[in-house]
Amino acid sequence: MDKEIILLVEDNQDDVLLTKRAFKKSNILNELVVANDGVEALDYLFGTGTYDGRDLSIMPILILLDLRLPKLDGIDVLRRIRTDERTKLIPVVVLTTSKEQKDLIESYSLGANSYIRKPVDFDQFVQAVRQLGLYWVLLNEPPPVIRRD
Amino acid sequence: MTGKNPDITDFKQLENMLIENEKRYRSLFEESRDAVFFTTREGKVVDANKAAIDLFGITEEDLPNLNAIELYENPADRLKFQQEIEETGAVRDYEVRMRRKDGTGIDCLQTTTIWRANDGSILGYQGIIRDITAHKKADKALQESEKRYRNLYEESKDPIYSITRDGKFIDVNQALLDFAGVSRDEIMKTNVLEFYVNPDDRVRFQQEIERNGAVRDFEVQFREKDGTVHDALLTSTLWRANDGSIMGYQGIIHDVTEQKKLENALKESEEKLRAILAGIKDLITIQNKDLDIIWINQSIRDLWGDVIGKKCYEVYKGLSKPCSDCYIEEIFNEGKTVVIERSDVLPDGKKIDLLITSSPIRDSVGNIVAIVELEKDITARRNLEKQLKDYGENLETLVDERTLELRDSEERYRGLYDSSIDGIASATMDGNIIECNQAFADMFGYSKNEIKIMNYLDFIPGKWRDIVARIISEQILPRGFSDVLEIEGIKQEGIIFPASARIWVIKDEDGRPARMWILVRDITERKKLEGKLKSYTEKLKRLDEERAEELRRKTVELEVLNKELEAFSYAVSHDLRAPLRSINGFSKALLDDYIDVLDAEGRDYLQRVRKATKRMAEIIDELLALSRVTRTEMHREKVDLSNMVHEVLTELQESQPERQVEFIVAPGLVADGDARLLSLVFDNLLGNAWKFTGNKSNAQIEFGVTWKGIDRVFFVRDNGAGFNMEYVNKLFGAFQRLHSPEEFPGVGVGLATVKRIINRHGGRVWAEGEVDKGATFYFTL
Repeated sequence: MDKEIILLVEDNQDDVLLTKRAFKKSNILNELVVANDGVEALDYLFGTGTYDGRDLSIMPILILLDLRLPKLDGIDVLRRIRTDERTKLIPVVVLTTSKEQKDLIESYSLGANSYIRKPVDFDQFVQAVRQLGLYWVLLNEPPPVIRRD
Repeated sequence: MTGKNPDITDFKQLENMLIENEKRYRSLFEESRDAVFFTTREGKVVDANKAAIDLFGITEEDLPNLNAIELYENPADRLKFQQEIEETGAVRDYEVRMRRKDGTGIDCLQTTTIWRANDGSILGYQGIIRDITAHKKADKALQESEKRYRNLYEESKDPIYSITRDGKFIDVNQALLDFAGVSRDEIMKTNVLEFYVNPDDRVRFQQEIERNGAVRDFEVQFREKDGTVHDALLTSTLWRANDGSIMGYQGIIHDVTEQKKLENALKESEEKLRAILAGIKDLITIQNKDLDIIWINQSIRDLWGDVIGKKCYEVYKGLSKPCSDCYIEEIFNEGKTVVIERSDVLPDGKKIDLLITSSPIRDSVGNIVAIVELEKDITARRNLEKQLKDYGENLETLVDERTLELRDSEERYRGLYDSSIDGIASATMDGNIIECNQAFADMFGYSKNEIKIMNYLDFIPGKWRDIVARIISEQILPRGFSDVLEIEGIKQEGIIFPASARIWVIKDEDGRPARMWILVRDITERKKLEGKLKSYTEKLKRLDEERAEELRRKTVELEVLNKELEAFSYAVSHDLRAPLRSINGFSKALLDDYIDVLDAEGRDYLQRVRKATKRMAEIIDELLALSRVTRTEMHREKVDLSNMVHEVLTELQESQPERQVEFIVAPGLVADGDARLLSLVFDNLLGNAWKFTGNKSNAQIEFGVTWKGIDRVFFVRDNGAGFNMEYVNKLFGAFQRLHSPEEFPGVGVGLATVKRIINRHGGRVWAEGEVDKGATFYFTL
């Protein structure tokens, strides 16, 4: 079983479903861990809350982060990821509906590796996810702290 | 002489001898050239010869009645003579002054003896008288001449000498002694050679005088005893003895030492004069009476060349006859000096002003022989004088103007003083009023005359007097004037009113304060107004504060609103899109996964659902963009519009490389504006032009500029689908479309965006178009 995990932080279950479908359509078969809000995302990453005791030696090779999230929004999640030694090198791709300049600037300022606006048209979305997976999962060399068994 | 000898011895012989004697003596008597007389002791003339008669101018007839005493000029002389003759028996060569019958005096010499009878008694006197008048005259003349020459000799200023051949002095005059510097005794012991500076001169002198008998102006040098050397000229003749042998020389020494000195001095003086004349740059020319130029200086020579001998008027004036105003004759006649000024043209063409001084030149006896003209170039002085005169005149004009100004000023100030509505008064330094204007009198309710005997303190209420006194000592005396004082005045009837005043002092020539001037204004009305103004101002201030408060509130509200709007937009962009994605995504899922259970119609419906979601998403994006245009801040800067147009057109061409469109872009158009927003304008306008020319084979898009009055109007023109001008008003409304999305894609916010951007720049935008002919969009910035 491939242990390379992609963490999808997304509150909208339709989007989760469509994203999974797009991954499948694009033949990206990595394990997809879904966090439905910002807090859950951090719990998973740092082994807290519902993820208490999780084996932190296993870290996702990619985080897909929505910005509009309940409890703790995406920008704050990104900031936490980038300020923590354990997670600061993990590639983060902002995957969101917003095209606001403010969001773009904040995301890149905080160290987002990429910023993708979700297209409404599903065909285009599949296209985007395919390229995203191709690049970040297959082509990109992950930083050394992330174990790739 | 007739005489009878009574003593006859040998009578006959004696008679003969006597006759013979008688004859001899008679002849002697008759022929004598001297007068011979026989007189009695009493003076009766007994006999007289012809010479006697002639001598005294008498006749034979006079004789019997003539007494000898009448022939003496001084009768006492006969008595003196008679006494002497009777004492001594004879008088010889007795000189006496006698008288002719006509009274003229004659000098006579008498020799008389007593005439005795044979008995020895005295018969009378017999005498011979010789007229010595002529002799005496000659003798006297000789004496005088001798004396004269002796005087001349002695008094002569020129040394005179007689000297032997071997140099021994015989006689010298005082001048020579002075000349030689020795005494008479000394010189007699001195040989002349000792005086010669060069003894050879004495040898030459001797040779010359003995050869020629005389020398004239023989030049020698003599040394005085004290060593002083004299230049002298000797004029000398030979001195001969009666036998003709040369005894020595006599002559005159002419001391020319002084003359030599003078000559040398004169020579020097002449040299100096020549040098001075040469150095004078003035023109000097000398003319004689015939107007011939007889001397010129170098300055004249430099200008006219050697013109001596020519006529002055020919040379200096180029005339053929003397100048009409020639004054040379006048100078010759009157001997005066004439000074004139004249302008002349020199041979080199230079025009100069001359000061000409013409003076007579006289010879040694004072006759005028020539005229010297000294011509001084006074052009520079003339110019200066002219300038000076101009300045003078200018100054006079200025003074006149200034006087007028002063008079004007005086009148103006007098008018101001009289008509001023402020009270003006002057006072002594003690505060006694000297004069005031009508306004001052009216203000305090007195007549002008009453005020003249008042003190300024009379116009100030008691409580202000100390303050005013302090102001005088602290402000007015140190610096000459006071601040504008807000004090109070008191009228005759005792009413106190607010007044503003200024006091200043006028100083006398020594700088001491002499007078105070007081300017007073009744500010009762102003004070009232100020009171009102103050309350108004306070009211206004309150209102202002209220308004400011309201503004602050509004601003805060607006900020909140703006934030809300932003949040809203953010929400819209997220929350409206998410469901659309779901609709679209799951429609696709249906089409993919349940294709078998759907008929063609069902599939078509799902396709339409998906298409609608996409269009909805576009609309949302455009709306957001539009709201962003309104919200974003403007950054004005210089924007190269032509360049911006090129970039947009290039992008468009790249998006559809297969299309053939002609671009016409006016170069170098620059405007002030927000680059990002203007870029959006061109995205829309050019995007539209590109879109609406999609069906044209000879598509053309143009960007340019035109002028409407003073406004610069930019335009984007195409020859595409155009539009019906009936709907021109709908063009710029949001979501207003003149074409269906099927015909031309789009949501209809592009031109609305353009309009908002242009409006935010303070410009206008409008359009012209015709269906199928194309459209032109104009805008100003």
